[in-house]
Amino acid sequence: MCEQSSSGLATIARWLHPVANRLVFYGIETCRHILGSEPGRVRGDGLAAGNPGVIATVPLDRLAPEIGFHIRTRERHALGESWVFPDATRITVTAAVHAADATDAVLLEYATLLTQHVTVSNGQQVRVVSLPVQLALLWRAHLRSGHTFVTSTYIEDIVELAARRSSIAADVAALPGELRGIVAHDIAKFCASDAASWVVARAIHDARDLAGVVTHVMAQLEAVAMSATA
Amino acid sequence: MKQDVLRPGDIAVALALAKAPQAALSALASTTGRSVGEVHNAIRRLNAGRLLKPGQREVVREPFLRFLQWGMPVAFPARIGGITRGIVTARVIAPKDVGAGKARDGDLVEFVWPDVDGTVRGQALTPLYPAAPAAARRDVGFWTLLALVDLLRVGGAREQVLALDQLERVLTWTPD
Repeated sequence: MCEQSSSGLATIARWLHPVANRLVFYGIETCRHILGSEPGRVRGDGLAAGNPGVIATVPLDRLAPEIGFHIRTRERHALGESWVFPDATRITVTAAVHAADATDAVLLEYATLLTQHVTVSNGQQVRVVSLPVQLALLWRAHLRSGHTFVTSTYIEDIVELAARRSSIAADVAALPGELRGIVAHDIAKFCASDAASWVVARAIHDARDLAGVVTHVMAQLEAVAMSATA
Repeated sequence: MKQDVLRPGDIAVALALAKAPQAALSALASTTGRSVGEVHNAIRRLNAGRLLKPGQREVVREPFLRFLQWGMPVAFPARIGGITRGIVTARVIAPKDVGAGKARDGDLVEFVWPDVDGTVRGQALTPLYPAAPAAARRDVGFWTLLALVDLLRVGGAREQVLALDQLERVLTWTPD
């Protein structure tokens, strides 16, 4: 298991412990935690880890006061809030009830429903969004970011997810149709893009020297695109 | 007439110049671990590439940062090898890393420049130029810059954002 990501998640889980039963964790760090036992080394865990996020099943104004004494800074933004804790840990908190549009509403609702429990390093249990829904969350985040495939950090996270989860296409195929639609929106476009193999090679170190790794990951992504549109 | 081509060590000279624009050639040579002649030639090539202000030894920061972001991984791609012993690189050098020489034998980090005196272990990353590990050992500030440049070469989009943010802070800092 990836030590850094699990300890990062444990730190956040500790801060959010009082309200943990109303939160669902997501983000590439949580994916790495779930995938930790699977073989295959992708990007170094010691390199920059993505900021984890949480989805609250209740309005944030009801949630924040319960742990208010822990929160050093609370910043509001369009999609939720950023909370900074005394040890400079920063998380993005989104309320499932305050979705920006209908697609986000569907996505956030499923994200709070399709979850799994994981135990972090301090023994605490947290709910984490299941991997295929994380894929959909990553796609939405990429579309919202306005970045191209080459500059998007979310696309690299998607590549990492596809590389490490051998059953990702089957997982996506089993998703409800609405969610599959979100995943299908751009994934086929990405596969067809001439930057796709370049992005895969950058996201996965081994792919720089082993062209077969790129081929394998591209096949995984194409299978996801096909299962999403099936 | 021959085409001027930037060499990996030229980037080290540009980094040293960005930190200390008024530095003498000998000082730049000492910082980068290259000879005075090599530094002189590097400045000529950097001038030809318009990464220095015309006729001066001052780095044009914005184009230089853009070159580091998009040019480095393409012009000087990272060569990664197996797990070996060496000096920490490709990361933001935190104070705890400065004492990497004192790290416990066998401590595992992401990437290292292979070095017989290094005590940490990680995947071998060929240094940008051969004298980089020795130069990094002499000057922690310069080590930080080289490690950030390696992070740009080896990292993904998220690591690039982090490295550029740090480089921007260092390179746009001007003494009072």
